[in-house]
Amino acid sequence: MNQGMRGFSIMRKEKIINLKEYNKRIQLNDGRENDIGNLNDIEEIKSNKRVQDMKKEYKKIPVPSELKSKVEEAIMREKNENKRGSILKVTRNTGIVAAAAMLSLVVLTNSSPSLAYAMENIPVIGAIAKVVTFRTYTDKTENHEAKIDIPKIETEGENQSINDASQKVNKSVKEYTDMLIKQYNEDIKENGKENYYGMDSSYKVVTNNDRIFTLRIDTVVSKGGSANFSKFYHINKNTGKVFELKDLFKENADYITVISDNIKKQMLGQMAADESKSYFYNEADLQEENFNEIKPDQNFYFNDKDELVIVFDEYEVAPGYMGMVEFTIPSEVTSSIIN
Amino acid sequence: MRGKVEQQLLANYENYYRLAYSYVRNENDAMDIVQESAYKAMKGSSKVKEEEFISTWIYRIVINTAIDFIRRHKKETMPGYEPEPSYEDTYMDFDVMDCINRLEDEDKAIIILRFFEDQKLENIAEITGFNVNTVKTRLYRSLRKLKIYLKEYEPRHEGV
Repeated sequence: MNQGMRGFSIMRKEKIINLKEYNKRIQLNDGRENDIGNLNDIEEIKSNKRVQDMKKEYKKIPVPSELKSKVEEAIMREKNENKRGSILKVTRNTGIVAAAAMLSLVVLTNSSPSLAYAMENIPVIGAIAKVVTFRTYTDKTENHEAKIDIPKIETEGENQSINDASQKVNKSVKEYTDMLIKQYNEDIKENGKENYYGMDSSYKVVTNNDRIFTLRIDTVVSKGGSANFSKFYHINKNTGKVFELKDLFKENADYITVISDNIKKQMLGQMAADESKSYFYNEADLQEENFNEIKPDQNFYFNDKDELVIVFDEYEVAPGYMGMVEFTIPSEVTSSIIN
Repeated sequence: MRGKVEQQLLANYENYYRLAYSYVRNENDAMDIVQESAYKAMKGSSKVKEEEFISTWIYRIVINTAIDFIRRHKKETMPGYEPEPSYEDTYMDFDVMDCINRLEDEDKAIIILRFFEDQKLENIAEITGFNVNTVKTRLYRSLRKLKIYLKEYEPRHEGV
């Protein structure tokens, strides 16, 4: 598609220029041009015998019997590639008014530690804390379904700064999951009773070493297709501070450009090497959707090799079939600006 | 929207085929174009925001794919040499195709969509990316090339 569409917009521009010229010419040279331009003429042309004959002939063009299976095959091929299959874009308007919807709201508070343990595999953050499901928001009606786990970091140690950082993350997590719940209620109201809508949100501890703790919340919204998006929270265990992307770099360092340029390079490289990969970058028919730069607080985490991995939500920089995409930034790219 | 794109493809593939065939005049090439277009349409279905645009959007893909195919094919052959359309697996006396073939690439689509597929001018404008007036101008120009005149000119034409 990329190439086809690109070709088309270029072609279109040329033609528009040529056509201006052409119109000028025919208006000068051909008086008959002035007689036309009336839509009624078209009905007249349609009933013209020659046009009728041509149409009959055209409709007689034989269609090969194997064409249908070829079309089905193309659809299947694309479907197999598109494991996540989806078109939905989640609206993330935050100025939401809570919907007073008629829902069965079930709140499971993990009052007893044994229940909490039973419900999740509880990751332990060093010796100081664990993550539990604080509560789960669930809703189930005929066509609407929600299961939103709200995690909570529990601290046990004396380290005040870690305790504070954990509190801070818990607060942010709550705000975020509250936003999801509001979004769900808004969306099902807008979507109507008869259309399916589901939201599933879970969490995972991505990194937990002696320096960094990273909690990730993954949300899937399904509505015919599905949309996947995530949110990451990080605590620096040495300083006991919550941090985001900008905090990794020296003050005033242009980390956005450095990282974005590397990602663009990777996008082009991947697309050149593998035809099935596609990113919203350098696409003539996309304008504002093209990837320009990462957000200042773009999602990220550190992988096993301690490399920086930048994470994009589904649709953020690539078509839905690519799912959520990640780019590992080689350490030499950021070595001069990293803190 | 994906499901709707799939539905449209399965409902209208014969129309896409005839359109593609008008460009390449060869069964196998036309089938390849339809197949490629179906794949592209599925792959890009997230780009269509409104259901009502699916139909015109798929036509646009088919036309682009067909024109791309022709241009690619031309490039592969010797410069300045126009390849003869291959007739081997088609029929010979095909008046419409000969006529249509005299038109420019975009004009072919305009004539076919308007008179053979009964598409509205607005849709054709959507498909080709021209504005409605341009579509009309091109339509009339093509009709003249095809020697189809409005009634008022017909007696003169028939009298020859």
